[in-house]
Amino acid sequence: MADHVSSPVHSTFTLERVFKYPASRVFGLLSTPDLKRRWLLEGEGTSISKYDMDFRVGGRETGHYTIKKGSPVDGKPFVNEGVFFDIQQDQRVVESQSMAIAGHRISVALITFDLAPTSDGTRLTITHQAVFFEHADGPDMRKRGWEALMDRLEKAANAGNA
Amino acid sequence: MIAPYADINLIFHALGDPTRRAIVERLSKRGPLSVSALAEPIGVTVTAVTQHLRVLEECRLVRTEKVGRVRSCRVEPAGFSALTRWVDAQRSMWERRLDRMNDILSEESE
Repeated sequence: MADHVSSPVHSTFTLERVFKYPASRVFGLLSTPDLKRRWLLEGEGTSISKYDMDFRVGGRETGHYTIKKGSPVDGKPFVNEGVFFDIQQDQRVVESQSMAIAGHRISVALITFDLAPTSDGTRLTITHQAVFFEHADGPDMRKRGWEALMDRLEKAANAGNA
Repeated sequence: MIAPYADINLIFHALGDPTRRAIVERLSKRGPLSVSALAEPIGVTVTAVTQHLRVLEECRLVRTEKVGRVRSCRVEPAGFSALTRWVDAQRSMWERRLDRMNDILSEESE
């Protein structure tokens, strides 16, 4: 008998940040594997065993890592996989990103990075559209996800521009 | 090990009181201190401080132990770690990623 399959949960959020650097520099964070590895996966208590990125339309991105002690998913292997669908130099990157924990795929996201010049730098807008599945997305992780979401809602309500 | 959110309600309740915050601040800077050494500069009675200490001990921000006839008080890292974890979890992973992007950009310009 198959595991019970619950309804998928969908979520979309948008984040904006203005960097005081030209678009070419900000784009470099998206197009350079060593830099992207640093901001995407490092510094989250992760231990990264593999990170590859083939930055071209149709190219793949793969990250293998574990999360260190103290996390509810302590020691379980995480695999992120993605494909680049649209690349406009210094302007836009669209990619998919799926996440699996211990062999169970828990989410698939479509992420759009949109770069626009401002008077003193570059505005990066990230739109993250995702579907979350059952399995390894346990109550604690789900809770964290929703707390982060609530945090963003609160910020948006209070400020309009976080 | 403490569950990530187990103590958070107690911690915020404990730190919601200005006298208890003063106790924690003083112990962070000067600790360990005896109950009377703690009470005097804050301007409350030993009895009141003892009650506040009980609340702070319950959420593991402070630890007290009897050394001879004196009760010695010091800050306890467990409560602070729970507090830090809670605050960290409130910031989305993507906000932290944007912070890291900015760190990388500012490194590059040095």
